[in-house]
Amino acid sequence: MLFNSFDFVLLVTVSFALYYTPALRRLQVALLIAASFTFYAANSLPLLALLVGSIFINITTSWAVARSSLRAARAWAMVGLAANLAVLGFFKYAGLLYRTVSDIVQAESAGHVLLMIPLPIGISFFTFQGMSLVADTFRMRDTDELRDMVHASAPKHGLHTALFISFFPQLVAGPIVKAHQFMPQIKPKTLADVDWALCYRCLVLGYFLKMVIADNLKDLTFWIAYPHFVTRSSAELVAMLFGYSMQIFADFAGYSLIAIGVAWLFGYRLPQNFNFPYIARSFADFWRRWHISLSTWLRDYLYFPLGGNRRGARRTYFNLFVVMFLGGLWHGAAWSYAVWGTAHGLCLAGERLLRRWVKLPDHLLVRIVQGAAVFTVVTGAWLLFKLPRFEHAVQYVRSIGANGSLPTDVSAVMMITLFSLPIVLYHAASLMEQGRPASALQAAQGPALGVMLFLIATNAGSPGAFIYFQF
Amino acid sequence: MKKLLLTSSITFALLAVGYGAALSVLPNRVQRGTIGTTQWDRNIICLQSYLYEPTPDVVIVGSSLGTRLSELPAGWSNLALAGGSAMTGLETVRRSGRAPRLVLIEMNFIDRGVDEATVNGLFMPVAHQLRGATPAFRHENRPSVVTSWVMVDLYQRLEWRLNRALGGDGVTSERAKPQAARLSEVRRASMIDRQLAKYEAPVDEADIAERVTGLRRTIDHLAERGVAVALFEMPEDASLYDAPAKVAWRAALAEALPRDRYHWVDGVRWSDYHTTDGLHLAGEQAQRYTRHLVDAVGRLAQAEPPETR
Repeated sequence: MLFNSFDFVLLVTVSFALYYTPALRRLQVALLIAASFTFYAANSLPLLALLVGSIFINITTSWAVARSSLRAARAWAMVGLAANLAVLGFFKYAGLLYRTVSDIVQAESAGHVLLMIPLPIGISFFTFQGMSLVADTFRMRDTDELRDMVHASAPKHGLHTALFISFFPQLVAGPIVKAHQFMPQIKPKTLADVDWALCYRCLVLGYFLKMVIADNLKDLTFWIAYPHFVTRSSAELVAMLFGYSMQIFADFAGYSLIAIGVAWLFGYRLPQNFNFPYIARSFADFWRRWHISLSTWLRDYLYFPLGGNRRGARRTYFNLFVVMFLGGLWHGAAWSYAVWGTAHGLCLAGERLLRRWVKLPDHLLVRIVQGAAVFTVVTGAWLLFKLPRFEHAVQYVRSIGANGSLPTDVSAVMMITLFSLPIVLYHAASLMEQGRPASALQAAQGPALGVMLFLIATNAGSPGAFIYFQF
Repeated sequence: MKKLLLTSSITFALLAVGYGAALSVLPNRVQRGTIGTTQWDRNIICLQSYLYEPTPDVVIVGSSLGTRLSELPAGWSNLALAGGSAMTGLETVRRSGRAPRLVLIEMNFIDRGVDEATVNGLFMPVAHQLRGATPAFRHENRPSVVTSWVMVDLYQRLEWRLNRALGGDGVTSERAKPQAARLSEVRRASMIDRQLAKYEAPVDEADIAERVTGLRRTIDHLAERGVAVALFEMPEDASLYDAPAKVAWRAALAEALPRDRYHWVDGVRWSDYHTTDGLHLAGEQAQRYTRHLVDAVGRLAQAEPPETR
């Protein structure tokens, strides 16, 4: 069920009306769970059983972690984490493992049934949330905050966990919410709890980014796919890569904003997921701005437990490498994603190493060069998202150099520029915002949202699935 | 919040009214230009024109092969969709509730199902009615199309002047494109090989049966509304004619939609036609096939209707 479909609008409208009906106020959590299951079942009814199973695992293990002695709690936490990883591993990576092994041993076996395992939509998101519930419960065992995490009543803990794991605005593509951020918010809500202005801004901007920018760029960057790109000129190849970089931002940031806006309608605050990532001047800065909920999840539940940067330089580089390798693989069951993550890991480690020896002056030109360098590398790396086969990505880069003599489709290049422009302006506005009075920017918000609404009504592209749905 | 809502609503209303007024005075070539549109945009423009313009006499639904049909008689509408299949056009005709006299269904890529997202987008409540009432909200009138037309026009004028000033022939890159886009023989052969490999892949009999049943159900539904239907298969490269997938689909269609009960346009010898890439007919070849189709429809009009179900 796409966020820009009539079915979704209907689901939200009906759920919203029932949610704030005074007579049904005591059933708010149950209503949201029902809406979430409906949302998930609309994508795949049989796989709803897997979501329910995942919820059950996390209800039982988090409950046991909260109610057991330290030793038993540790064991239960390990069981919970392992069960979540097993679900993720089996449904997402079993096929990759089979393909890799059969490629190495050059033999077919009965294991080919692993290739037929369906990839449940949003599995990477809801299993990570389940793991955060188990880990947060264990960490907070001896604190007062545990009461907010695990309700004293088992049935209520079950309902709260079910809502946390399945909350439909962010169920299939994030933002990934950590248990300690969400569980304390579960309480009866009234219309007064809703931040209407923020909600309106998030929804209009989110739908604009998705329907006007991402959906239009989707059709223009389609030709990056193999073998279509081989007949495109160098200028078109560069423009399409640039456009894809804008598209993936607009698509994912748009989705996140819609999720945040819809969650606000029901009184829940979701974390910010993007903070103008393309103005980052370093890779570390980029990862503080891009898919923030994933990078902070990896930091809190993987990088820190591995020792972070407290065990010496070599261990820090190793930790960065491991986290980014796994973070890359989280995106998809293909080695190209691991290569993509590893490349980012190497860049993070490399710039950390470089910073120890080189001190760059704080000059405007230097800042521009830094930003351009980071953007170029990040954009080049997105190619592995569009061309999962590494040799095709290499051929694409070669074609940029080789296809200079082919005629350019000027119209396509201009359209990519046109649809990318709002993203460039969006990032530029954030730079201009610094040091300006807030009132001037607030005055421009209304007209800007009006323009976006007009373009949503007149210039939406053909509807397409969100890129991050596949992860 | 009230101020935010008010200012954004006023801005929206002003833009909608102003843009609607501007469109009515812009030259027609801007409103209906193909510059600044992708093949998917053109598909939507094509389907919307069917929904919002007077019902045509004859409608063609098909894939990118059918988009090559040209010089159609007046009253004919071509809903063939690049990258799509006849099923999406057929579903649009069905859901529109309109009743053209005849629907011609191109069967070449009937294995591709209905593009539900596109069809649902066309009939999205409120938006559908809004587009019907106000042309400014139709896909062909998107602000980006108008903007890009202006941008490309400016660019070409500049390029042309520069080219002439430097002693060139004045041919711009955009105008040079069709010539350059012709495929080399080597590339054409490799595309035919790739297509052949697709057609030689194992076919799923159950899937074919399910799709053919769905197609027959839609055809019968249209027949109940008084819409005649005729089926045709466009020529592709001759080497693809006997490919296993083609044979399997042809057999399933012949069984489910027999010629004694359904109209079929007589097939042509594929070797008599030339394609640019193994699938799509070249310009003059497409015109020749269009004439064949028009003649066949003329004969259908005089023939006895097939036995009704």
